[in-house]
Amino acid sequence: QSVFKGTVFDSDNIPLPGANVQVKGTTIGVVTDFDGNFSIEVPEQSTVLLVSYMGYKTREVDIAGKTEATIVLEEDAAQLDEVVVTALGIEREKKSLGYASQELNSDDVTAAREPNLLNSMSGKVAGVQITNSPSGLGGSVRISIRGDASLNINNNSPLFVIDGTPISNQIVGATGAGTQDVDYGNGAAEINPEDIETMNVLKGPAAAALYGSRAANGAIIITTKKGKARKGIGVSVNTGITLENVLRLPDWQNEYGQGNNQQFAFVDGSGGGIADGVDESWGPRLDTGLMIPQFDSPREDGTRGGDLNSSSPIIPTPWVSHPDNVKDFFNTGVTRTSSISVSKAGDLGNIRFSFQNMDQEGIIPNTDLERNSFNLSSALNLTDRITINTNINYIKTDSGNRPSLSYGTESIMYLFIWYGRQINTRNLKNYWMDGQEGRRQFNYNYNYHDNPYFNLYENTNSQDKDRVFGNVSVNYRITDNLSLMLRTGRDFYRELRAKKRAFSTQRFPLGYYREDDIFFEEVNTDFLLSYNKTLSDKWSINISAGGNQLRQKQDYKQTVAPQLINPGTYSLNNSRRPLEISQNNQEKRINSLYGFAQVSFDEKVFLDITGRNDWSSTLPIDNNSYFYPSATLSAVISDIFNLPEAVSFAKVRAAYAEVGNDTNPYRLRSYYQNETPFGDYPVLTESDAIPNPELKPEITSSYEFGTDLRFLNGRINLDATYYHNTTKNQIIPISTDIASGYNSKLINAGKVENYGFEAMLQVKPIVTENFRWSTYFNFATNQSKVTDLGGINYTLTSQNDAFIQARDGGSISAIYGRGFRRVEDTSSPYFGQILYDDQGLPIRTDDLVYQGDYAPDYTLGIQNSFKYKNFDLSFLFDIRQGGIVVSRTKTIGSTSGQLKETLEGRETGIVGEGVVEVSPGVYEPNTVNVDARTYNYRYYERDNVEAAKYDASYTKLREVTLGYTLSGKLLEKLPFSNVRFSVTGRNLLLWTDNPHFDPETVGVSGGTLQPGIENMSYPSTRAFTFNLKADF
Amino acid sequence: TNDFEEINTNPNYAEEAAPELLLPGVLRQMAYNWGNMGWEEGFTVAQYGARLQFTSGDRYLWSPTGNPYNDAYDALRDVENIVRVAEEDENLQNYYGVGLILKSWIYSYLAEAYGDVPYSDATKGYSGDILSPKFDAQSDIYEGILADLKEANGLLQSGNINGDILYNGDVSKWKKFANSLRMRLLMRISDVDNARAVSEMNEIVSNPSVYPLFENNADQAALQWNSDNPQPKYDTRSGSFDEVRLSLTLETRLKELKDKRLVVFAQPTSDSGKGIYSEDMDDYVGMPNGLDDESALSYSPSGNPEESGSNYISRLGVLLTCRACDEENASPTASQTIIMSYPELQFILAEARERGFITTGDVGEYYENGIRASFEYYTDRVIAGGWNTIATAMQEFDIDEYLAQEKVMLTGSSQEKLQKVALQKWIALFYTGFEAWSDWRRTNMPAIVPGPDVGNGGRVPVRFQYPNSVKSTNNSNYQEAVNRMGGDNLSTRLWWDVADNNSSVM
Repeated sequence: QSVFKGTVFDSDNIPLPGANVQVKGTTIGVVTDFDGNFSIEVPEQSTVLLVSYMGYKTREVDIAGKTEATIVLEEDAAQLDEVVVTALGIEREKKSLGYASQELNSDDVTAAREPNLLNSMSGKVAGVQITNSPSGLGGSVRISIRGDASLNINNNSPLFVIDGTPISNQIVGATGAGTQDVDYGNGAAEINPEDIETMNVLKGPAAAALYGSRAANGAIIITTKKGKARKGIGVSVNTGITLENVLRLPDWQNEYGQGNNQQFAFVDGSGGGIADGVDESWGPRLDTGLMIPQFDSPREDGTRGGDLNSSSPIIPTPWVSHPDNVKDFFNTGVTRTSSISVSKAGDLGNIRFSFQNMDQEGIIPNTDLERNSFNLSSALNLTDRITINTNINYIKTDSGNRPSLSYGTESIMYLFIWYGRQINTRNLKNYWMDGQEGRRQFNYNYNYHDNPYFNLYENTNSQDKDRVFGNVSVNYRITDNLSLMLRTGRDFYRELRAKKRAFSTQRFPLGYYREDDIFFEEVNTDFLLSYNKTLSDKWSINISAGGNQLRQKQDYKQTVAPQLINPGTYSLNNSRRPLEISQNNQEKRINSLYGFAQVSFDEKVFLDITGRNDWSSTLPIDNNSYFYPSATLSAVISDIFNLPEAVSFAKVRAAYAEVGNDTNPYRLRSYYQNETPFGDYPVLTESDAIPNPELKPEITSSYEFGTDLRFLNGRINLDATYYHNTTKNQIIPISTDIASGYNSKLINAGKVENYGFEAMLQVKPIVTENFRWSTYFNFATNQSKVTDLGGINYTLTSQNDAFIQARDGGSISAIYGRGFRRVEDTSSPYFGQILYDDQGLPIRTDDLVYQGDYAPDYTLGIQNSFKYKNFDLSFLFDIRQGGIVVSRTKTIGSTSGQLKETLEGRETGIVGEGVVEVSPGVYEPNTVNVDARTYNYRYYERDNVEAAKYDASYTKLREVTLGYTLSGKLLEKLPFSNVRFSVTGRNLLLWTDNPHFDPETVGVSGGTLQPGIENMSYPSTRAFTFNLKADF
Repeated sequence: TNDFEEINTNPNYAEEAAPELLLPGVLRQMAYNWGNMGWEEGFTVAQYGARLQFTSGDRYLWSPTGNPYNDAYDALRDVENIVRVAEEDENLQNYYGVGLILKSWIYSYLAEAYGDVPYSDATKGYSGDILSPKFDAQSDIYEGILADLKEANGLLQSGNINGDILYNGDVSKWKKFANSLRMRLLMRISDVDNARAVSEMNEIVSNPSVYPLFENNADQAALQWNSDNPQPKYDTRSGSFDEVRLSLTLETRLKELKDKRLVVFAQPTSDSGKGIYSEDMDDYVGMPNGLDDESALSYSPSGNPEESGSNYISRLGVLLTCRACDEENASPTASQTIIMSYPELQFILAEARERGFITTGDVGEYYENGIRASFEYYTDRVIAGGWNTIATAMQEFDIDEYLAQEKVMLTGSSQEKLQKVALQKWIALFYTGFEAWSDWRRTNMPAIVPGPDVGNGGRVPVRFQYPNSVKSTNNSNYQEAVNRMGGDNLSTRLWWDVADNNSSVM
């Protein structure tokens, strides 16, 4: 045994850190350090090293008789050896793929230090649309690829697969029983980004034909890091801290305070004083020297105005503005992340263990999230031919409080959109009435609202989730040509949620306590038998057959103590009324068989054919079997034809695929559901949805064409795809007139077509030894068209009278709602103007009118990376052009006198811009002066969607990362093999037309994230992360 | 795949339900809806209450409304399930009868709200695959309702039923409800189909053993709430309760009659500092209906702008108050939801007798019964709520003296008598759905004077507009109904609303 030392360079003489060096025929291997150096122990009989690096041609180096060498790797423009992990965990050479896929590596997903993995994809993958929930803290992220295809709006997520086993990306809603929504996060958010080696986004159904229905919207194939032979002891540590603050809040007015008609005086905060029950800011002018009794004015006995148990007179205090009274409410969010991994590899196999702790305090007071993730993966080479792989993850998620969402007193953004602009928020911090601790909250208004601090510190929504997922597989290479894989994978979690509501809460004067108990389990068991054969010099084939059984089980139990006996005791035992219990258990099974064949000709032309048959328990026995095929073709034309020298590589590809889809359990028959008993009488009611015993499976078919072109030896790379997906026979509940006795009927209808274009362009303008610059562009555009709905207007979801509605000939992402009535006569000089009534108020349409589309016209991500010596810098712009967002913050903030634009006409009144129809077809400009509050109330009527909509376009400076990697002599003196320090900024800048909120937000209702709808969203955040990573 | 059928069988819920399990849900849902309707349009359009804030409802700026349409048909699905199961089963005939009564009440409610509504095709979405039911003419709906009520009277036999949260299983009371409700609806159509009204009313009142009617307050259809299912206003936020205040109209009319029920229907102003009861009637102050938001919030009863706003205007009665408004005094159970009261029946009989529709009984007796029973009822309710000061005041009130007043005593011309009957009926119909509004539409009594800032061209609405949803889910049938009725406006008159004195244009 001897030690061999060397350095690996690329053809530009730049050292290659992280290149793999392996002794051929053994599992002995090391990785080069930052300067490309390595040293490896070589057994005596071995004389050849394999040196490889992604994007470069692998070299075999003869070291017989040598102890040192400089090894130069040639850049492989064609990246012929680039291997990607595709469906069922099968590794494929990228050039053989007949469909679009895009890969992110571990640096891409960890650079931004996003707590939610999905966010780190934003702007980096063409065609992937990421939208955030408004909850601010570990909230859910909506992901869709190539637009939404399913009329079931919750059914548009791609499938997440980790090391071959699907895992849940479900969002389990938490509404009902008198409480508002809380966002407890989406399943895929719990994956520890540090464990990810690669993440391959398979964009179309063709890519995912083998995963069946759930991958009809694409699949994200995650491969975790494995133990590697390496220099040092194989320990890697990472620690970071992220500081977050508010990026954008509504633009408030600060000239008038609470009240009505410019009047206000606090007596009891519920109408006992002058307009003191009013929760709007149409009150007296601020900062003019007025003295007014207020909730925080002292009483003569020393208590506060809002301490209603005192009747001592309130001493008026100055009526002054507090412009930052909402901003100051928010904290600096702090996230601490620490992780460690150890890994080892040898003849026996490899093993890696990792642990990560993430501890997050939100910008919203008293909200937090802690996550501890453990991962253990190992491979055991039982014999030459049998390998056993295991991968187990345990994730513990805890939150003491997650903020409530949507419109109502439980959400603090609701409290702020109805807030006295003069309120000194600090004076609400002491939120119990004097001498009434635990029983009666202290507030500025007792008619409608809760004190925001009381809301967050007393009325909490906690979460405690244990999740385990992973799999075990056995690979048996029966002969050199024939192999068998057996695998079983499982994802299961138990989640306990508790909602506490204190005495004197507006919605729950006698308190409330609720526990939700959620259990989810999915087991996938599959086998795959593969045979490959080289038929001749040119032809080779690979045939596989496999099967999968999916068992899914979900149990949901909710127990509510609707009122409490003693304040402050949150136990189901402490219920004043009978406990309200509801339960919903579901089970589903899908059996599948599939086969596929790959034929390659001369390593230049590749043909794949797949076929899969599913049997689903959710469909009628007669319709529950469905078959779907796919075929893809890839040709490396640069190898077939003689192309100009500038073209280093050219590939064209084409694919066609079908995917069938089933539905949820128990939709074939009607059921009687339990309701709260009336005293001793149990109560049942028939479900208001008409079931359908004759459902058929949905079918998505798609085709795509693409090309992969590389020029100037890989300095310019372009990958472009055109695709067209059609999903038909969609299983949707259509709305029916309730006079039929039912609100909906489940039918097969509707055809949704999505077509678009996506392109990734990579340019490397400068490549020198010390300085490198590369630029990536990710561009995507998608259009959709709905047909075959039979004339019905199908509502996918709705919120605040904005309806996301599919109509024949329209798009799937169209938003309908009422708007202003306008002059329709094109010959009138007033054509298009808003119609006013004779009282000077705008008139609203009765019908739902098309207001716009939530989907953007296009998305563009632009990333620049620079590397200078040991420094690296990258920044990512994320651009979204087009689309609308409908805002309830705008509607309510305008009527409640909170937003800056409500200053207009406060003292002079408003003459609305528009016309009055004086006689049929005859219009005159409106001249009626109306007081501002009345005008705003009518202009921003709650169901007037037109008045509430904004252009959702934005440009964001999404990520900036500056890193420094230690190298050279300094490193040699330290016990590290690699040290890197980085600073990352996230969401640093936002350019958008609307002044009040970040347009990148969605509404939340039940478990549905509602794109295009803003509903009391929490402000998005700007974040800075400081991170240190070291390998030993 | 052999076990797929079993896997796909819902373990959570049953596929069948006995009528007794459906009955309480239907009653609760509709009583709740009827109670809320009484609070909103029921109070404001008939001017028991006036809006202090968010005044658009009080100003007739009504949007197309989903209520009671949505709740009613949602309940009718289970009514249909009761009727379907019970009709075929000899042992369930009482449930069949009760099902028909509920169906009649709910459809009459719908027809009085909107006019033509789906009836013969309705609730057959699953059993008959009718997703877009046609709308029936009101005359056909009343035809069906009246026949069903008569049939129900015949079906109901002695014996008990279960799941009856209205009468606790007492079938004889259901029978009385069926006939009393039939009297209400016959009176409703008396201007448009007088012959039928007269003949069927006589059929009922001349045959009390076959067609028993309510005989006292204990017979009336009033849902008693319990602490787990409190009266509809009990759980609202205090702001929502406080938005509706005592109407000047109710204040004025009751004060003119020296009517003590004012202390039940309203509370003294906050400014008076008297708590939930004051001996001094001046502490009960109402506000006008139909003010815009600005004027309503700053309304001053005395005219002195220093003394304006909610502090100077009475809240509605402690009987209805919400827990968050007054934790000490609020009661979840004292307020019942009255579907049809015994006093209402007495006033129907009084009107029918005075107008000569029936020949049985004495108009003065019916009238006096109605008034006395109403006082008794509210006395009982304040006792149930434990508000002793109010209870004492009600008990000590001299009803004989009240009845002897010129303005109360049933004297004068027939028209004057009818007006007195209508006024007393109106008082007794406090918080009874929107029954007072329906009566006003039929009789124009007592008068409704729209407030100063009302919309709808200054006209009192005479119906609701259909919910927007039917325009997308059932448009052609909707259009047909609108054409038949002559429009879908707030001023489109209903079939039975024909009396020429009912011209409400200002």
